[in-house]
Amino acid sequence: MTEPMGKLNAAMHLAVSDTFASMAFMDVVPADKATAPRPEENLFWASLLIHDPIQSEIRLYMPEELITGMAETIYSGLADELGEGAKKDLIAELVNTLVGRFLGEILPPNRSFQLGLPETGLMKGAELALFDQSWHFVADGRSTLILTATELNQLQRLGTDFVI
Amino acid sequence: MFIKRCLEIVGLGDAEFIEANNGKEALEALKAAPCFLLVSDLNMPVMDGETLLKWVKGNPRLNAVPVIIVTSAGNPAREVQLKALGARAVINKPISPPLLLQAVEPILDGEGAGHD
Repeated sequence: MTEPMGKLNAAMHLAVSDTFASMAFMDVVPADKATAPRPEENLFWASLLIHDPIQSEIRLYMPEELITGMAETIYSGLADELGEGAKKDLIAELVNTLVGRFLGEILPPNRSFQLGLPETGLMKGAELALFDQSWHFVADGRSTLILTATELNQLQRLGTDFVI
Repeated sequence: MFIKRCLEIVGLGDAEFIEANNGKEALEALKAAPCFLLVSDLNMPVMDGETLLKWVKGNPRLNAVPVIIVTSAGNPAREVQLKALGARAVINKPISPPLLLQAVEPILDGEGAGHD
């Protein structure tokens, strides 16, 4: 593994574990993408553009069962409001939070960055297609969640051009 | 919805919440009915949180409403800038109930409106 990618991977691992632990008390750990089970059920996804200081798109995929369980944990007592929209809101909040956490971890302390607005959707697991770079994680020891990003060359700049 | 849930957990379960999809809708809601507290994301469509903050603090009828800004793109310099514009607190995501309580508690304890 090259050093810039090592820094990116470490920052992404921290961003994901911190975000899921803070928001849902959920234990999420990195998984080997070669052996992680490929999700076959329906997947909720949320996509976010990074506009500055690099340009990339990061997309988070979560199995429907995982996002539903997470929503039930967070919104306990609000079962009536847990439609598809609430789950999309939650995954949008997750991708927004963890991409911000990722950039905050890798960039110097006062370096500002600009994000787009999350887009969300629901798709079949069989339609999953990953971008240039991807990170796989296992949540609570069972479900696989995946982050994937475009513009690998731009991402690598995060690990070289903006180091403290 | 997530922030609303956190506010309920920290003790505001009996409060009436008005949710808005963007800063413009939030501004219209603030003008339509008195509000005790405004919690706003920074990154929103139509009107972002910083612009909303400027509108609120620039309006004599609204400028006493405490504003808490929530952001995924925060840093120390940005926090200073937003506080200079009148934000009572700036919270970096990930949000959790304890983090939100830290910002809301002084307002609930009576340091709310009029001290910005």
